[in-house]
Amino acid sequence: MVINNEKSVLLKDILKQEDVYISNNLKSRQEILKFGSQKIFPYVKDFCSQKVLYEKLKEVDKLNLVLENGLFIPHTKFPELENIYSVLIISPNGIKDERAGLDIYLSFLFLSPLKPAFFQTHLNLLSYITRIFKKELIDILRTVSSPLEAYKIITGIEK
Amino acid sequence: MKEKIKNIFVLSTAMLSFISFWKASAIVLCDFGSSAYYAGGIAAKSFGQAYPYFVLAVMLFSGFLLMMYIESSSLFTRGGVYVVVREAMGKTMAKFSVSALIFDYLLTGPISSVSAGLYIAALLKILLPHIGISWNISDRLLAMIFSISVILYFWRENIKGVQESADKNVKIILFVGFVGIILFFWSLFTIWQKGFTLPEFKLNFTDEALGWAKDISWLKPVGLIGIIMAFGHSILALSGLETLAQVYREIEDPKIPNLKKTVIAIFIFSLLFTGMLTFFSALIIPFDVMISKYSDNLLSGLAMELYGPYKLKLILKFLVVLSAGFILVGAVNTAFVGANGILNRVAEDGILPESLRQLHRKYGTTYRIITLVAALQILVVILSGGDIFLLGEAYAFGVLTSLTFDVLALIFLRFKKKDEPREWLFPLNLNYNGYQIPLGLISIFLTLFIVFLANLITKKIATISGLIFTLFLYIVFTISEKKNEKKINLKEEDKGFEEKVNLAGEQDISELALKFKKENKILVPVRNPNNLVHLKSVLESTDDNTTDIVVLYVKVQKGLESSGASGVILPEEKELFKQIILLAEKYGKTVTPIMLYSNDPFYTIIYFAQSINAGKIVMGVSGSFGAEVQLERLAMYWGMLKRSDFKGAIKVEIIWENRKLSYELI
Repeated sequence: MVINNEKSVLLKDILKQEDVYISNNLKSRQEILKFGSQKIFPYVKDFCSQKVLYEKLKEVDKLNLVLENGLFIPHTKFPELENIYSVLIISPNGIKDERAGLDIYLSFLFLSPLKPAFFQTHLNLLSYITRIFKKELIDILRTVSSPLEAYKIITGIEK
Repeated sequence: MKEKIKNIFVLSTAMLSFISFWKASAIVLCDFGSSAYYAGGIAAKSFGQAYPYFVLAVMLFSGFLLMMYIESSSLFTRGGVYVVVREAMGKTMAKFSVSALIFDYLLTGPISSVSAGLYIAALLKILLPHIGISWNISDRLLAMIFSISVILYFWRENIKGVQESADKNVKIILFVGFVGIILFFWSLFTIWQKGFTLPEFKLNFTDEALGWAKDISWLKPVGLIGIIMAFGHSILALSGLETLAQVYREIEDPKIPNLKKTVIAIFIFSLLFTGMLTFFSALIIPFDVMISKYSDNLLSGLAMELYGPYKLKLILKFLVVLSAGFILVGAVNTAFVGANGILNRVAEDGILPESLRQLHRKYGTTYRIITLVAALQILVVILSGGDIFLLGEAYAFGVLTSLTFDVLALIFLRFKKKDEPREWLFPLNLNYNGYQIPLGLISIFLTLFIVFLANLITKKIATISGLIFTLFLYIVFTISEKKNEKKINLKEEDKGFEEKVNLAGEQDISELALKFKKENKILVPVRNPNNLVHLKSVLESTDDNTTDIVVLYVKVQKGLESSGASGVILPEEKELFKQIILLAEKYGKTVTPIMLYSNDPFYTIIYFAQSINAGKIVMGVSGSFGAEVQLERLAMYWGMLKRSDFKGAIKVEIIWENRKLSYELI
């Protein structure tokens, strides 16, 4: 999880095993944001309340995309952060997003430092996420039985 | 994923290719330089043996007018007398000025090609008896037949587009220059061998040359008045300068420095070729011989009167006639280019019917305008009966009127647009109260205006035909303008816009990508005609010799699979393409505008960039998203679409006023 403004980012460095979740209980994009914000909150609790975190994610979400392969990447930035933190939420049955007209199967929620010098790393991460999580991988992850299994698959690909 | 993109169109107009200053000089000289072949003879017939002084004086004066065009071009990339006069003095005066200019262009083709025909006729008269052929065809009839053939030939060439003609013009000027050098030095040799007597500076006007002045007792053609009249009879040697303003938009980067080189090249060539060769003709050919034998083929006469063996002189005469054929015929082309340019400007303003600007489907040229010009020129040839002196008399009207308007307009603009940046100013200015009082331009204007008044009185046919034609065209423009205004008021659906720019369909991006062969490629997505700061930045900083500049407009259409993407351009899109073309012309850089239909612009930009192997994407900032979100979306699609064979990274720049963000997608 340690990123010190390195240009390249690996998921194993920013995603912990315990931050991978499988849930079929979430029914909407908003619920993904709420759930994700609750799970990632511990990393920012020193300078931000949960309500503020959720509101910020909601605000930024107006401009977020759901890609056609079912990948959703909600994210926001904080000036207080020095590293990237993330949670991964797998929705095996899919969540219908009315706005995009697409089903969300995988949500990679992350927080990154709000520093101009970090923005290249931020962009690298975004392109890396979309490069890793192709439709084929998402389909596989939808069938896993546990977060651990999902985590092993993801880190295994990175090797 | 590929279904996100439908229907790809490449925008083409004849105006997106740019030419070197050599080609620009050649285009102008093919008109301006061609007057060497007939100006001296026409002037001599008008006022006698002082003609070489006046032709030389006109050539020296042309230097000032060429400088005037540098200043006007620095104000208007798409300039010329119509635009300059319109900006300075309004549409009414602009309509008058352009009517006169069109009169000029409509006479350029006929006078040049008839003159070439007369040179050929004179040569055939000498050559054919040598091979036993009896030649009884009238010179004028042959000249007319030749002239019409040439007009038809260049009608076809211009339908195909300017670039082709510019290459030919360079070859013509090179050959003419070669013949000119021989004439020049052989003339010097003749003068050295035979000696010379300077022609008498004595003005003997014919009755025709005096026009109405012969009936005005106080208007005696002596002294200063006589000089002004004689200058007026020589002024037709100035024709072709307006073409410089039309050609400027096509001059490659850096524009003003290249324009200056063009001006210098034109001035030196015409001073030596028209000015000095006419002078040598006067020194070498006895005046009475010139008038009786060579008045309509002066340089042929010079060749035959040089000192040397007859056979060699005959060969030189043949070369002179060949050069006359080439350059005078080239002037016909220049008239097409000039007339087409000015009528396009006028049609853009709604002063001519929009339908006239319809583009040829294959070549992207305004073929209806070109055809109209050809038809009118042929009519002039027929009406003149091949009489070069009649044509010459009428010719000066258009030349002088448009030049006078042009200079006057520039003077106005010094006051009206005093804060407008100008890369160059006509010299001799007085700085007063923040204004640059143009003493130099005022002097030029006064000279032209006085000569114009003199010509009105002395050239009956020119004045009558010129005024009638100008008035007729003015009425046509006014009626058209009113009709076009009505159309706008009634909010009729505009059917004409999709035809202003030519859209050539492409089957596939991968096929299109093969067209981009330069070492580097820059992709410039555009959307808003008022937000092209990034395109301007690319044009300022990129060498288009090594870089393909691809301008991409993504037409967003939802429900793409069911829609019919027909290539219809909406008015706001027309404005976008127009601004792109104007910017490309301003910087003289070649761009390839592409329009394609998609339901996802960011996806399309990345997909396209990869397909053409772009090294850089340069965008303007989006008012909807902001620069960071734009970059994030591009990064996401980059990751999603990146091909394994695409090595390295692509640079992305977001540019807006005084700000630039630059990152890489790896």
